[in-house]
Amino acid sequence: MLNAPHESKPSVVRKRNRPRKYSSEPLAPEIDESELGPCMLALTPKQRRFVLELRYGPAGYGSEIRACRAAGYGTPTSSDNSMKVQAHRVLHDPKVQNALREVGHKIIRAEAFQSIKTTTAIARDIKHRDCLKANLALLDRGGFATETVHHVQVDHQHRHAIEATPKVLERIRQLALAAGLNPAALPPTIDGEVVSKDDNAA
Amino acid sequence: MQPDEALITDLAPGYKYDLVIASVIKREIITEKMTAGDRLELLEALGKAVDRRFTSEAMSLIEPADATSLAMVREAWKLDSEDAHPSFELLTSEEVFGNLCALNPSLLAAIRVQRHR
Repeated sequence: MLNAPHESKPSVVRKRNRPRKYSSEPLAPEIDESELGPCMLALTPKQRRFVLELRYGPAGYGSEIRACRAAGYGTPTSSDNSMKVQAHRVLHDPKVQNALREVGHKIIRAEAFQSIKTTTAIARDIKHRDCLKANLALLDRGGFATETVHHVQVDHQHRHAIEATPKVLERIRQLALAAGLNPAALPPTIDGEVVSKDDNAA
Repeated sequence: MQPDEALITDLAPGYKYDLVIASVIKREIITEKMTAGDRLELLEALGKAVDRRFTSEAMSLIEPADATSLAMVREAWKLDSEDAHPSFELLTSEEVFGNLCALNPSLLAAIRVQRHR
């Protein structure tokens, strides 16, 4: 019996022939380990690469899949769906979450100076519609915030739970008698008497 | 078995412990200087220990613990921790409680009053 001739494999045709939104080429620069924070250093090289690709790559739909591919997850033939699963898994790793937070804070701190410059520029542009808002923001942060005065009154009186009043002493006497103790033989109590500083000086 | 031994054996450990503690509290009240509030608190604790069996008559018969008894009780308390209180079993054991009764015979007198009720 003759073997049927092998049919040539049809080339893989994507169901939706839409070109990928983002290239999976790595975009993050090589960063020295000394510049990384503790959360980034706790990651594997692949996870670290993923975080950096997210930080330097484009934001928006498909950005996580792109970062995943650029970081080296999956294979060149992996489908977008399988990469989506990979991206979800990596993105929800607690270590990766901590690293993203760490990188995010760094960006915010770094961008703060640019925000100050922008706010200053708006504040100087008298025709800008947000000129007043920018000036108020600068005043607030420059130590000229609206002053508010709060009056807080705290009344605190320290009292012993039980004072040596005649009533209490009588109760002690009765209880001592009931317990078979001679009240007259008991040592004196050591209740103090409050003397104010002024009285003491006089 | 001697009559006193029978008295001790028949008494529930909770009552034995109450008797010992009452004698110790009485000792504290008559020897230690304290505020009126603290003294009232200790005397009220004695009053609360009284019930149908441990009568006020029995309570009034208990003499304050002597120095040796007090030292024995304090040593037993040192064994206690937050989770376990072995001092209870130790102080209410026949041997230790018998010794405490020998040092303070008023404990036996209080037990006898209880038994007659």
